[in-house]
Amino acid sequence: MSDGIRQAWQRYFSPVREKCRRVLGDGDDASDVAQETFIRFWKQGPTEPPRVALAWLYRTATHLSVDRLRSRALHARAVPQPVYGTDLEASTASRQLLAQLAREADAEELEAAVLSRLDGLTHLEIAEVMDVSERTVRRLLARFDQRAQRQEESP
Amino acid sequence: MNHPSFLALDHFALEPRAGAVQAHVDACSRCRAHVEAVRVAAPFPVALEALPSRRPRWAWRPALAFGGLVAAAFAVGIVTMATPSTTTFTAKGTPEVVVWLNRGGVVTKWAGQPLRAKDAVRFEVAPAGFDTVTVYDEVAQTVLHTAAIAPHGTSLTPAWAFDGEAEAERLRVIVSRGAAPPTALRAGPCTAQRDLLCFRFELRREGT
Repeated sequence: MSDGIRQAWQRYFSPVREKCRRVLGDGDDASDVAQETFIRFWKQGPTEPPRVALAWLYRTATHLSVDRLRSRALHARAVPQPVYGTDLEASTASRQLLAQLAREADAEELEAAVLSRLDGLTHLEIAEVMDVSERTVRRLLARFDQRAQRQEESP
Repeated sequence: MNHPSFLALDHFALEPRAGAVQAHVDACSRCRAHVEAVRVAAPFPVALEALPSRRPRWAWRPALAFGGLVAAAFAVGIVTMATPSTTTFTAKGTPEVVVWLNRGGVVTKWAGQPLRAKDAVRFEVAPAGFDTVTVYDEVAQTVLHTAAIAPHGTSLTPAWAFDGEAEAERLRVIVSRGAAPPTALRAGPCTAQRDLLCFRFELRREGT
């Protein structure tokens, strides 16, 4: 058993940790969420094939990261600066926007936005990770964009 | 430069394959750095060795909450056919489509009841020899999903959330041999054609 969990850790923990850092920054929160994701993965996730395992990990890590973002918003905690993203400046702006909207947006909207804006997933990839249709992904992202636009227009 | 998604890069890091991602990683120092970073294993926390063994392989399926429950439902043989509005197949060996409704995390077989915002539905298809499933939105005139499926056994489509904005969603589930022809994907009756069977579902919003 020990070899199995070590092998799974070696293969999957680093991608999960980097993913959590993209959302939560390079702090304790990212490490905590990454470890929680891995523990859930070990208990109930599919370790093979890698594509399926990664989709499961992305879904769970995104879900837990959004929970943490919303918790931060409720407690008005500062958000650490991001260290990763598809483009550093755009990633920073996206993460700040996500943090601002974390209190009011639906969790599903936030999850789709995280996967799109920070992880750079296509609609098809998001649909696969979230286990919904591409149409639902488009709707979630459209709602998030509308919410973001209202936020920008508000004084 | 358009970069592959981090999901694609992570997949490539685990299973390198020649192709577009490989070509991009070869040319892009930032993506290459990401791939190299995720290939470096983090130190293993010894405390995790105390975690119990994994459950048997089959048991992870309920983690996909919706699909897992549907799979369980099939396992105990409670699946019966939904009620397509225009065509009904009841004989053994003919295609069947079941609609599953997820309301607040509780999955039940849809029995025609009105939907609420945030309800989600998905279709379980027993193609009985057909090899392609297509889900078509009559209102938006859009193909929501099409995929090759195993001709025997059952297949699940993705789930669709009901946003509650429209009074009704009218969806067709088409099972066919090969891709569904354009004639099946436009306004008009949802009827059986050569190498094709059509099921139509009207999902009404609660209160309409």
